[in-house]
Amino acid sequence: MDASVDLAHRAQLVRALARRIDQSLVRKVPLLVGDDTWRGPLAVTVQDRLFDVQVRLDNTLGQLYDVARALEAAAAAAAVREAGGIR
Amino acid sequence: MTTGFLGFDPERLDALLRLLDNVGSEADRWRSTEPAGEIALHHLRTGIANLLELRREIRRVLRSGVLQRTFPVALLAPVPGLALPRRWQVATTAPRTPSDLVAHAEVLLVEILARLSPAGLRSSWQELLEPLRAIAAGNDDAATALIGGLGPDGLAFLLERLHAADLPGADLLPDGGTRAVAHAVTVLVGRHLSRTGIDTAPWDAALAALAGHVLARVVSSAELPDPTLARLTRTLFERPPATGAVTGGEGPTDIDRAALALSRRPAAARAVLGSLDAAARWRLLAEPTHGGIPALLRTLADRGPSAAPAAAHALPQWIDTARAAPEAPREDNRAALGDVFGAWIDELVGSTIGIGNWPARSSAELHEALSLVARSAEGAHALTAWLTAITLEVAQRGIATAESVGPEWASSLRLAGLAAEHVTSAVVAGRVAWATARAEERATLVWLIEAVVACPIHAVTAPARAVPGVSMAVGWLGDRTVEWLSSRLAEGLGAAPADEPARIRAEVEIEREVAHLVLVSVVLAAAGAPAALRAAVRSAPSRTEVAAIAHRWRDDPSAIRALAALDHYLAGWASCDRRICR
Repeated sequence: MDASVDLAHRAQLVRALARRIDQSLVRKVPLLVGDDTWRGPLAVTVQDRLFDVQVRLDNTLGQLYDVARALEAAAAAAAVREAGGIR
Repeated sequence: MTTGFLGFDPERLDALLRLLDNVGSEADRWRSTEPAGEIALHHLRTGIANLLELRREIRRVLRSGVLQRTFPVALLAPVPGLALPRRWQVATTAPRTPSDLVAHAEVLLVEILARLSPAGLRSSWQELLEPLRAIAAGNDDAATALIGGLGPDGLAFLLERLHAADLPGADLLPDGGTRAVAHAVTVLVGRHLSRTGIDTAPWDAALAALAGHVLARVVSSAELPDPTLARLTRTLFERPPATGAVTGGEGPTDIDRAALALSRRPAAARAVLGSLDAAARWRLLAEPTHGGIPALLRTLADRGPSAAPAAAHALPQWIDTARAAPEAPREDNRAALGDVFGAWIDELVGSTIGIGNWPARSSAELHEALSLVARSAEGAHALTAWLTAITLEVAQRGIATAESVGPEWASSLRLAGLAAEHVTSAVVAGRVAWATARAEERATLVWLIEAVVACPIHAVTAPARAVPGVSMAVGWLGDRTVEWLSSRLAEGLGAAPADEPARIRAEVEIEREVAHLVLVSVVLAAAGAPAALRAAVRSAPSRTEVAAIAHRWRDDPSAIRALAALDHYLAGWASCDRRICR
């Protein structure tokens, strides 16, 4: 398999994982822990903890998309090389 | 101790827990061959693990019993028109007082109200309207469900809100919620609190907090049966709210309003009046009133087959309380008690009721009680009316000359003898207008004292005081009483100012004569004068005529001792006159 294809496939897998994570059930938790559901000390704790989790997930997703973009860039460069370089 | 939650939507919270159950298993299924993916999944699972720890904490809180009770948050809406989330519950630890709950709920509401649009409140309140309508229609099961769901604090809070008329939509209920309230409280008292073994203390506190509101609006529509009404008012009288419910100021207090409501239901009123503890009795007597408490007390004077025994049981307690209360009874309350006393003892005349708890009491106690009653004009008039009635009875039954009386008459006449002093005192003080009294009322004192003194009761009540002559009168009434009659009556009735019109002075002189003639009758009766002599003296218009009658009897052996006593008294009379004239 060409390196460019392999890199592009890996980029697609990373993006797919990022989308899956971004659409996972844990991303829906904030919809149910707001003030419409409860108020009180434990509710605040859960909201704070969930906020940390979401921030961490956002960072993770950002890193995944960075990785995907890097892989896509590498795939593009590989494809150029495989085509004989830039004329 | 924290509840973990202040308030929550049970459906949304349940959905959250189910979601968290699935979050972990979902992440466990994912794999990644990319190092970055592995790192991302590690972060994801770490975060989820943190959340799942909290899921366990949430479940622990829900299972731990910390949430002892929850309240539909719509019940706690403090301001009309504010919207609250549907289905919300407010959690609280137990036990909590209503004020704790209110403070707790207000903290919650302050937090959430700023975040809410005013769209949803009417729909949330509608959820309560339906069961309340059912309750208003007499549905006991709906009322029981509401009571069980809310508990004492919640029910009190709901009813207060209904009566404060600040719940939106309450106007959609029959009578603005009054009927629902009445039925809910009726079911509460009749079905719930009547169960044996139930701890009624929390309910008593709640009932006391809302009884004023309930009674002020509900009883007028006769929605409460007697037992419910009695329970509410008794609770209120014995456990008045510390703050808040008593209106104070110029208007009637909750207690006064409740007393007025209760007075319209005499049977329940007598039951309550007979069951209150001493603290509640003196609190009522000292309570400022706009007429409610006197009206309530006067129910003890109602006639009827069940009324007199209840009064005989309750009234001595009330009189005692009025004597010994830490705070002086309010004048209108005391006057009502005087009226009741007069009406009640009137019931004794010619009846077989006897005199209740009085015979066991000492003369000193009775004197104090009668003094209390006679201190007000109403009480003094009541006593006079009774004395008139009993005197007529005495005359009709021939007790004035009879040698035997039944035990109920013994008690009544003993009380009458004691009352005579206080009535006469009221006459002198102007609380009973002797000068304007009817002839039979003036004659009352003559008849009464003569009857009492002649009655062999004195031999029972004062067996050691068998003294001859004038002192014989003292045998029953006591030295102090006779001296008081002779001096105070003369002073009070004889001291007509010189600048008064001649007509007034003449009337005063007549009254002095009447007063002294009363004592002449007393003396003759006490000294064992023949009935014919006493009857003749009783009809004498003046002391001159008395002297003439005495002269006609001077050779009659049966009158010798009486005439000696009369001479003794007339000498004292003259002395008294000289003293007064100075």
